[in-house]
Amino acid sequence: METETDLKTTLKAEPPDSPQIQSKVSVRNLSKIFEGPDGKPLTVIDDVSLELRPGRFIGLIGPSGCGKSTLLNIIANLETLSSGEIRIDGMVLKEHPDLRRRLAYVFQTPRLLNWRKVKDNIMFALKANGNIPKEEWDARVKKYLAMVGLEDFANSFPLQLSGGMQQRVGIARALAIEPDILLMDEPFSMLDEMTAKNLREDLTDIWLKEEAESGKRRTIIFVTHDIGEAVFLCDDIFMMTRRPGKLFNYEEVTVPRPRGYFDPKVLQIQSDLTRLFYEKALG
Amino acid sequence: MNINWRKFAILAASFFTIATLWGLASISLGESIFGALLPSPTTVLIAVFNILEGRGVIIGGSAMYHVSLTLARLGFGLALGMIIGTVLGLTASKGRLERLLDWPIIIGMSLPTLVIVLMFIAWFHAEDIAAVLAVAAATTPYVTVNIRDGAKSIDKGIIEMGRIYGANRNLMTWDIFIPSLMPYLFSAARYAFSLSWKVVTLAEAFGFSGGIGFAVYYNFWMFNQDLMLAWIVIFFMVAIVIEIALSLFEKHVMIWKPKMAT
Repeated sequence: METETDLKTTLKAEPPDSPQIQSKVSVRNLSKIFEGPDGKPLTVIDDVSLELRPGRFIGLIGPSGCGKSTLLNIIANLETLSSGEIRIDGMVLKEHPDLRRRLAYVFQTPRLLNWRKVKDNIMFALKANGNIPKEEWDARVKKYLAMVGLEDFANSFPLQLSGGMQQRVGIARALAIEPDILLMDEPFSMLDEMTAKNLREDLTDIWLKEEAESGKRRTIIFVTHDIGEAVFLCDDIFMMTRRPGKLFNYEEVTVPRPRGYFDPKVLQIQSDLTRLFYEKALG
Repeated sequence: MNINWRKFAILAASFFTIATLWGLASISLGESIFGALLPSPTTVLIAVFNILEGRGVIIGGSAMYHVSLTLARLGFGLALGMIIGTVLGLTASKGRLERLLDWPIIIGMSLPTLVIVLMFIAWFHAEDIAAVLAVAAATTPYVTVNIRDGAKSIDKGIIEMGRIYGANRNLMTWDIFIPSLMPYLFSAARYAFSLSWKVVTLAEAFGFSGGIGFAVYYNFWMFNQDLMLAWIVIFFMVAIVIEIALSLFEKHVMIWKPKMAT
C-alpha cells in the first residue's frame, strides 16, 4: 500500500510497461460544483487529479455520493466540469468533441431499446458512431454477440431476456464500437451475486481475449462501491472519500489473472482496502 | 394461427344472451299502430340484409355509400385531430406553452359533443367540412394530453445512452422518440376513434343528407324502427371491424412488449 507522500508521484507515474499506447486519460484538478437543493453550491468533486495508464483495468471506488459516477459522466462528456480539465491523448476533451466516438459506456441498468431486437440494439451503436464502415456492421454484431454468449438471442427482444443477459447486450453494444476507453458505471450492482460473479469472470476473459486477438488492450474505467469486485477485476484502484469527493488512495493489484475470488492474496488486499476505506472514506 | 376457442365461446354466449333478452323484450312490449314497439332480433337481422343488398327503404344511396361517407368524414377528422394533437402535445411537453394550453385543453375536454357539433354546423352549415372539423376539434384535446404526458415520460437514461453513442437527430427520432411515443399514440388513437364515432353520427343527424347518422335519424322520423335498429347494427359491425384491425396493428407494432394486456 502506498503512503500519503508518494501517492502523488504514483498517480502521475508513467506506465512502466505500457503494452502499446492506447488512449491515455488525464484528469487534472477537476472539480464539480452543483447547485444544492437549498440553492447553495454543493461541491461533489474536489480537485481530483488522475493519470490513468492506458490499457489498464482501472477501478474507481468510493461511497455513494462521492462523485465517482459524476467523474465518469464528465469523461463521457455527459456532464460539464466546473474547473480543471480532462485530456485524452493530450487533447482537451472539451475542445475535441469527436473524442467521444472513442468511448463507450456500460450503464448501471442496461438502457436498451426494448422495442428493437438484440441485434438491432448493437446496430444502433454502430450506426450512431458514424465512424464505422457499413460493411463491418453485420460482422461486428455477430462477433460481439458471440463474445458475450448471446449469439442465439440476436432476434430476441430485450424484455424477453433476464437481467444478466440484458446487461450482456449492453456490454456487447459497448464493445462493438471497439472503443479505446470503456466506461462502466457499477454495471453489475443491480444483478444477483451469482450472475454478477459470472459476468465479472466473463468480462475479464473477453478483455484478455480481445488483447490476444488485436494486440492492444482497451482501457477500462470501472466505477464501483464494491471493494471485492474492484480487487477481483482491476489493475489500478483509486479510492475516493465521501462528498466532497477527494482522492485518498491508490492501489496497484498485481495478482496474476485468472484470479480467484478466494485467492488469499485477493482476500488480503480486499481486507486491507476495506479497513482503509472505513478509516478514511467513511470515518 | 391458433384460434382461441374459449374466447370464441364467451363471445358467442354473450351474443346469444343479448339476442334472447332482446327477443323477450320485443315480445313483452307488444305492438302499437306503427308496428312492434321493439322489433325482434330476427326482424332487424332481415332489415340488415335488406339494407346491405340494396332492397327496401334506401334513400340517397346504397349501404356502402352511407358507410363510406361516414368513414371518410371520420377518417379525415380523426387524422386531423391526431396530427394537431400530436404537434401540440409535443410542443407542450417542453417549454412554456404547457401552461398556455392548460385551459384550452380543459375547456375542450369538457365541452359536450353536442355543443361542438352545433357550433361547427352553425359556422360551416351541413357540409362535410363541418363534420370533419367537429371530429378534429373534439379529439384534439385528448390526443394533446396523451402525447404531452407520453413525451414527458420518455426514459431520460435512453436519451443519454443515445447521446453518449453519438446518435444524430435522425437516429434519435426513429429509434428512440417515435417508438417511445407509440404506446401513447395508440391509446390516444383508441380513445379519439371511439369519440369520433359519436361526433360524426351526431353531426350527420343534423341536416346532413348521407352517412350512417343520417340513415339512423331518417328512419327514426319515418317510424321505421326495424331499419333504424338495423343501421345501428351495421354501425356496430363497422366499428368492430376497425377496432379489430387497430388492435392487430397495435399488436404487430408492440410485439416487443411481453404479455401485452388486451
